[in-house]
Order: sequence, then C-alpha cells, then structure tokens
Amino acid sequence: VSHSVLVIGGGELAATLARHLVHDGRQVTVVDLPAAEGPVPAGEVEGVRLVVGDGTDLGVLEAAGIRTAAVVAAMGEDDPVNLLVSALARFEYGVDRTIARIVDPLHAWLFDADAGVDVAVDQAELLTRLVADEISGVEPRARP
Amino acid sequence: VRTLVLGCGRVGAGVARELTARGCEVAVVDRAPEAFARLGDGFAGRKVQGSVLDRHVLEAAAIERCDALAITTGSDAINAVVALAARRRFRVPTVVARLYDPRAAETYQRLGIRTLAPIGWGVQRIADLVTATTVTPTASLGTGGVEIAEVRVPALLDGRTAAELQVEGEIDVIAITHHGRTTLATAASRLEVGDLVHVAVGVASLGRLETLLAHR
Repeated sequence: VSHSVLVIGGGELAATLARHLVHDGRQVTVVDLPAAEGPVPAGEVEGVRLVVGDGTDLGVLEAAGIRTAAVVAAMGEDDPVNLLVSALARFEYGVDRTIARIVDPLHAWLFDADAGVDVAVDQAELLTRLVADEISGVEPRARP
Repeated sequence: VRTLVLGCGRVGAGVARELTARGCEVAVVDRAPEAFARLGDGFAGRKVQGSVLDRHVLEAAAIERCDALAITTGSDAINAVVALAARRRFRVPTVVARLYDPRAAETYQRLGIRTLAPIGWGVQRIADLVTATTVTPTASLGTGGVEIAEVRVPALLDGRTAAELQVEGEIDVIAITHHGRTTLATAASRLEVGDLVHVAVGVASLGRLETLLAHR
C-alpha cells in the first residue's frame, strides 16, 4: 500500500500540510513553479521532495510520482489549476483520493465528482463556519 | 443550432460573428463588458457579462440548452475546466476548447476535450467544428487537423456505396457498423439506413461531409 502524498502547490498552506504529513510518517512530494522571490515554502520542509514545474504538465506529474501516489492534494492559489490537477489525477492516473482547495467560493460548484474531486476544502466557508459557531455560543451581555 | 461562445477576445468574437453569419443562434460570455465591442455594431446574438467560472452566468447564457460550445479564454486551465464541466455536468454534445500552450494538448486530449492548436487554426475552423452537428467527431488525430467521426446513414444514402461518401484527400470511409458488427470498409461497401459509418475527415472538410449527408 502506497503512503505517498502528492501535494500540488507549495505555498504556506501546503507547507503546513506537508509538515503535518511528514510528521505522520507519510512520504510527501510537492510540485510547484519556482517562487517569484525566495524558495518554495513547502519545499523547505524537512523530509519533503520538491519537484519544480507546472502541476498541470503530465511529464511533471509523472516525474513527481503521480502513478504511485495514494493521495493527490491540489493546494494551489488558482482554482482552475486545482481542478485540472484533480481531474488528471482521477481520470488519467486513477489516483484513489483527491483533495482540492477552493480559493474563491464562487467556484465551489465546479469541485465535484465530474471534475475528479473527492473532497473539496473551501477555506472561506470553513473559517466562516468556525467564527459563526464561536459567535453563536456567546451569551447576550446582561444590560445594566 | 444554439451555440455558446465563452470568452470574447479576438478569437471568441471572431467565432461568434462567423457563427451568426452561418445562421446559428449565438450567446457570448465575457467578464469584461468592453470586450463585447469586438463583436461590432450589428451583432445579433446575446451578450452575457460575467465570469465563465460562475455557474449562474453560464446558466443565464442557457448552457443547458446549447447544442455546441466553444471556449476561447486566455487561460488553458480555465478552458479545460469549463470544457469538462460543459461536457459532464451540462451534457453539451459538442465542446471545443482553444489552446495556447501546445504542450497542454495532450493533457486536454486525455480528458476527452477536443482542442485547437493555436497556430494555423482560424476562426473558420472553430466555427466548422462547432456547427458540425450531424457528424459526431470521436477523436482527433495528431495535432487535431484530422478528425475521426461517426455518421449515421440517412435514408437518402440507403443502398448506396461507401465510395459516394469518399472525397480524395478530404473524407475517407474507414469502417462500417452494421447491426452491431464493425468491419473495415471498401469503396464497394454497401450502406444501409441506420448503419454507423466511421470516417476520417479533415477538419476543413467537416462542412462538406455534412453537405454530402444532407443533400443527396
């Protein structure tokens, strides 16, 4: 059974995820284009293999080991790219589990089985729900 | 034919005008309102302003009822993703996507999206692909200049031979499916109404193939 996880996109979010996965004993490969300034954050995480390239390029995905990956997590900053990566992972490479990040909630409708996405993570939605839950738990202040 | 053109840049606007000239019903979508100026003053089609990634915008443009769709935005990833949604979710029978990076052609093809390489593919050809309705292309060969297509034999061609559909250098009959059995065709193969004919056709000749089927 393969425990390898392929993370597409190497920003701060991906770095946090990669750190977590490595700690859990997963084999983690990160794919991202070179950063405009400085290193790719997720590539700096100890134990992570960084493949520099376009995550929608079949050659780059294959070099990163998509054929043997158990999970593909599309964590980039661009929704169409995250969708395309998920579709390729599922329909072209038969990856068992695909997780995709939603950057703009307006695009959430596209993140479904038709696009090869198993789990869509809507950051804005999650944060909103957490904050709203916190607020709803607050008792009204007694008025003097 | 009801068509939808997503992206109103130079290519999108050109395709929209060409389709209108061919008598198609056309709706055009673009995020930038000023993009519609490229359609010219007399444009008879519908203009829908908004993002092609917004479901409400696509629905306002009646994507569920269109017969064919061309997506021509400046982003290959957007073109691929929306083309996929158009095929799978909205069940649009014909979807054509424009491609900027020729290296991405393989990526598209693997996902079953018919693409146009950026060089040498004019507005005319996109319009040809979009309006080829009685012919169902099933695959593109090489860089997309030749299509493999399926054609249902109409009553008008019943009892004729495959030779009558052949046009040297343009249309080649490869195989015929008759009562569920597919065999290689020869020029003398007899066509029966309802048979499925598999042809190789140059993209520029799709219109000609349609004419052969319609006016016999």
